[in-house]
Amino acid sequence: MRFRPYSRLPIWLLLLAGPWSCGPRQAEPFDLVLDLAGNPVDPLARSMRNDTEIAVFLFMAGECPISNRYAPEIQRIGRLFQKEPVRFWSVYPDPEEDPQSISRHQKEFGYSFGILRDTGHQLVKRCRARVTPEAAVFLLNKQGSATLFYHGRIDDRYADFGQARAEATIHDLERALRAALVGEPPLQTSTLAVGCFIPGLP
Amino acid sequence: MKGKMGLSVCFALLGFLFASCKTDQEPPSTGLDNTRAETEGLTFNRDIAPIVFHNCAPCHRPGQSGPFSLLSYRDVAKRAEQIVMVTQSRFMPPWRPDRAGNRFMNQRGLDKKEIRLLRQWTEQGRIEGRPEDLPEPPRWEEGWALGKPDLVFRMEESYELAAGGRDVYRNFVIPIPSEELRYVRALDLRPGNKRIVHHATMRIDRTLSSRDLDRLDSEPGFDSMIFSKAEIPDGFFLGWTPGKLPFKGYDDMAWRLEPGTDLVLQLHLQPSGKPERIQPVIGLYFADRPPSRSMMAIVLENKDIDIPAGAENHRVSAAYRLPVDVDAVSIYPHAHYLAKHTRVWATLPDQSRLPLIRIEDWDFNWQDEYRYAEPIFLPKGTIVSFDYVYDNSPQNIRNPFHPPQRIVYGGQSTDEMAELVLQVIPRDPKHLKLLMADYNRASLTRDLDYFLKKTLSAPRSALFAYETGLRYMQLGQREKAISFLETSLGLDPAQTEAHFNLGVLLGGKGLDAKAASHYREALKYNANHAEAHLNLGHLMDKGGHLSKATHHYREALRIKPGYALAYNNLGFIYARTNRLDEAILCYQKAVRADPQQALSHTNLAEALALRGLFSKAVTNFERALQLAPDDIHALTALSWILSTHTDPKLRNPKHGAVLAARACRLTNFREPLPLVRLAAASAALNQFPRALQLAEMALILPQTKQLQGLAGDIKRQMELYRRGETLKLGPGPRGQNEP
Repeated sequence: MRFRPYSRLPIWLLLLAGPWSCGPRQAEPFDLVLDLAGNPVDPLARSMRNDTEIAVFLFMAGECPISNRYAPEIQRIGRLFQKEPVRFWSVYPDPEEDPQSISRHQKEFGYSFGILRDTGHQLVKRCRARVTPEAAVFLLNKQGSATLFYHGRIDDRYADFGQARAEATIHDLERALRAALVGEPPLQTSTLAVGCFIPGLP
Repeated sequence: MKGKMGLSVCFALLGFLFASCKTDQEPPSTGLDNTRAETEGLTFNRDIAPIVFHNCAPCHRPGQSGPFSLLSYRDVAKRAEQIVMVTQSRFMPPWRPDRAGNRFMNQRGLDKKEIRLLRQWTEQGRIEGRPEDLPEPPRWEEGWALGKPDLVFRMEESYELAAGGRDVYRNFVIPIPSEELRYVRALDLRPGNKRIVHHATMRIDRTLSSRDLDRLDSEPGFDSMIFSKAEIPDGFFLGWTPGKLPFKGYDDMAWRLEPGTDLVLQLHLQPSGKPERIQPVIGLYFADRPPSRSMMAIVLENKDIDIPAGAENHRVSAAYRLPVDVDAVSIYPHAHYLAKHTRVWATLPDQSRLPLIRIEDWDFNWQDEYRYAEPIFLPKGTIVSFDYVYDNSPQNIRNPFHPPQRIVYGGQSTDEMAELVLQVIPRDPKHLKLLMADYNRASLTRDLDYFLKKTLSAPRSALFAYETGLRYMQLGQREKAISFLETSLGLDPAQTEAHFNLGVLLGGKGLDAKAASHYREALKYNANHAEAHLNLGHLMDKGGHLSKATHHYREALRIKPGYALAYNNLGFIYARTNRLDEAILCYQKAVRADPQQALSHTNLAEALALRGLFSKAVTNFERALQLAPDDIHALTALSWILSTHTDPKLRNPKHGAVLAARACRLTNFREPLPLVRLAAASAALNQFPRALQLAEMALILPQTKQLQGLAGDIKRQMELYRRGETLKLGPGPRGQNEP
């Protein structure tokens, strides 16, 4: 049973969210992306970068079994690139997941990335995320802009609910990050992710 | 997909409108047109809650297998699209067998209307509806589903499942703490962590050999799909799957649980992303009486599996002809990751076909035992067949290997199996033995063919040589069995079971010294082999080394505290070495550990009689004869007491005569002791000429050691009979003329 791949965004929003929004334009203000303490955060702002050249958002949900099953693999990728100018973020797009449950979830599953609550789905839209787990990779250039480099699945382990391989054969996120680090384009800019639908999408 | 854009905009806008409306909208009037009412103005409370409460909530609630709850409007509305998707694809609720096929108990699944309602409700904006329309939320019993168990026990250590990686199939060996023989009518499993236990099957191991496999690594349990010596107890298939209620059992059927039995619990565990600990608990429910009917688990299997890499439609089949009328009550098809279709059917004697189960999209993760809503009658001569089709191509996403590899039969989850367990009840309980014998022979023959083939193609394999030898042994072909076992041990001497079985075979030929040396070898590789100790003890006893024999019997009992035969044999040593009270104690323990064993009752009775406790002796002899009506020993011994005891409460020469006469017939009047006992009974009935005649007959039999020992007594008895006197056995430390 295939996911329907069309975007859920109404057409007029699509026109704005198309590729040309990620070019030389400044990043949209992310005033509804919060940290755990409730402060607004703009993870793609220049001021956040230091030497970071690549930002990776991992959309996750505490109650999604597929998202949770990916925790060891996500952390493996985090460790793989820890010496590189890559910054990983855990993003919780379900507004009903409160800071306490998020903290508990982070601890239980061994996460140590920065934490973002995307209650207004600003990041979700920007990254075109539809399910958890899903990944998005942004290139951050010296001028201050952020380009969506790759979004979609972490690897090809799941083809659908109930259709999973024993082990992944294509590691899409890892591959995308390697390409980004050497300045090459990604093999695929987007792939279809399988997981729990992010609630509240139109 | 582009054509749907416009539609999606409409729905999206509608969605925004409805979502922002108040939740307690009035539904449109339900006037005349029912279909309109049904498909418009759907609300959660009225239309969706009943579906969710009945079909989803049992698993999707706290503490159960579902990863999130589906108990309230919020729970469901939030995930509405996902619910629509998984119900339309029939991923949920999980049910793999063909919906148009056999009817099973507790069948899960939504009908087309329910699936449509879910979709329409979502499209209409997920309206909650009026509070008064909401049905009573379902309530579930806390605690054990079948009530308080009679025995509760748990895995001794917890097991830690790693956070990531592949699914784990692991067997855990759990001793069952039962001191007496019990009959189990039902079993329930509490896995302890329902989210990671995907399913479980259980068998029992009376040999305790699974413990050896457990010891191979330091963690609890061992990885395997094959149960080895663990068996399906008396035809009862024991399994657990998420959301399934335990089967409450039958009034007249139960499985036998002897003391000193292990439960082997095979768990399929799915990593959750974080480390998880698991320590399952098992509850047993006992029957209050032994079963009057029996079930049998027919295991149809084909081990001859060899699937080339890339093969998309590899077929494996098996068949078995039923020798008696049965009713099939449940079915459990079993294969691993590569199977794609599993089809099972029965061909009746009139050549018509009856489907038994059909799963067109096999999913290893959702194995289950399916209980028929109504038992299916299969008459004698019915052939039960299965056809499984495997896909070892890269297109099969569940293929554990990338690129695909050649796959053969084996115990790892990445190997393959083709098995079917069909639980049946013979229509006539007396047919059970016939069915078991026929099934055993068929399954042994089939296995023998397979292992012979394997050993011929791999002559350096100790394992295949052993398995071949074992099958020959079980089929009674002793010489071939010995040959293959010796070959196997030549290739690999470190095999406990091979040594043990070779010991049994050689002992059966009277080659006691060789047998003993093999038992010692078995114990060298496994000091905790209770049966090897027992058999070695027996050989020591035979050779006159009583203290060594005693040592080995004690070791057997140390390892297996409920070992009835060991108690029996130990008691026998005490009885012959003037330790009568200790003998009695041992025999009593043997009887308690296995009340169905006639031998222990007979031995106990004899020891009690020697002790002068005739009343108890009579009770035990009678019990022995209930279990084994043709036991010459018990017949003659009991006859003796009944014919000669002076206590009118015990004396019964008439019955004594019946028993002795039976013993005489069973021995064709060619054994002295039954004749002597019949003589005594006749004398007690004042039939002195007859008594003399019988005693005379005994004396003129061919001279054997036994007769020589008895001759003096017989002559003395004949003296009494000539004088018209009978023997008198009274209460006292030792009766007269005891054999």
